[in-house]
Amino acid sequence: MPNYKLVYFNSKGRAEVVRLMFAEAGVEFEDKRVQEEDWPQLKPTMPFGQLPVLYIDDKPPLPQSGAIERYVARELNFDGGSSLAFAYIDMVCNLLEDVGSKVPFMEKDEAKKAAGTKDALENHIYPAFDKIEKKFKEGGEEFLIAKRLTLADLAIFHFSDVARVIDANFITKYPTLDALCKRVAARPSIKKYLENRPKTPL
Amino acid sequence: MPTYKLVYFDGRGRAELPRMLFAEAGVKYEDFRVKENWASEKPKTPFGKLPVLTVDGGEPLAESGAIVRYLAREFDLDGGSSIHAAQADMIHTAVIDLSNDFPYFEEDKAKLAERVKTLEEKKANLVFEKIEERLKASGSQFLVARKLTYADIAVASFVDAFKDFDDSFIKKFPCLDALQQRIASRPNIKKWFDNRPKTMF
Repeated sequence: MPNYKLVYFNSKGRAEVVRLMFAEAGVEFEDKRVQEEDWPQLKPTMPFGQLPVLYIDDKPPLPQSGAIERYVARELNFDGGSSLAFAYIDMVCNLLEDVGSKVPFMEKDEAKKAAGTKDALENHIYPAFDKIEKKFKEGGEEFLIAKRLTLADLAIFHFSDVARVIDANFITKYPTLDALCKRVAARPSIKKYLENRPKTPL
Repeated sequence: MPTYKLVYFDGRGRAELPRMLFAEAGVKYEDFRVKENWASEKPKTPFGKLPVLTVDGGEPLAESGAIVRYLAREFDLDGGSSIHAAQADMIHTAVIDLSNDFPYFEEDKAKLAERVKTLEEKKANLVFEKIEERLKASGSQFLVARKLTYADIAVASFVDAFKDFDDSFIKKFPCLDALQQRIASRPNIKKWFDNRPKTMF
């Protein structure tokens, strides 16, 4: 097993899905959390000046959360077992990234932030989740894709977790997805991880 | 070989990279362009957006990133190993990141120039610098695995579009400029460029 070091801020954000995969697979990794005050000095040394970054043994560090997620999913068998299955998993993750990015988390003007968040929810997030919920319910499966736990299920779980910050009852609007998230959270390795991870809002 | 159908609007946009992959790989596909009938096509898509790819008439696949990565893997344009695929992935993702911020549709010339400059200062400079360094250090004509991957095609495509907006910016990155020209002159890509529909975007 290679040596993994994941570098990110002290939050869930764009590193949490990777952390969940390591937890579920029972793979040890160094969970390095950078303090805000240390970031300016570290930033220019990172491949694209951003976090997260994944170090694998002595290989050049891998940036871009999407690329990291897809790499780890493949390595740890969360990729659904075939290229085509992985494509659908990739699609779900991209969609979540897409609609999630519409929320103006960084907006300082409170009024603008509220309006932007409402717009993101009503015009992007809810419609996307309506469709995912419908499809998932119709399919009657335990997991989203390939009849097994994949990156897609973990991505939905993480999204539902963080979405509570902008809509406290978010996932309850989608009963089949809610049940999936509860099942994910109840898996022994994930349950243990969730109990022990640093508590941060996002 | 499976039957492929790629559905998009009548333009390059988020379908052009998949089309370039089909072209480079020499793989036939139906290049379906939605013109007036979007209202009736939209409900057929998984999430109301394009592009969408269907493989052998199966479940439609949405999200251009997922489509690109799937085709790259199928056509051996992803570098081959997991780690090489990851490197191609990170480069492509970084370019898409920039592309998403790009003011393609800004009509006011002064605003456009300003927005391009801001993008350059805040993100594009760093990303292009790093990719330029990488290409120089690779000792090869290619960004990853010493062979053609979708990362080269994605970078070339974006450099090409960027040139239209700020010619001088690219001159700071001679290796990337040269890469763009090499990709554009590859026989299959050139043939596609010569024959593709000429569209506004």
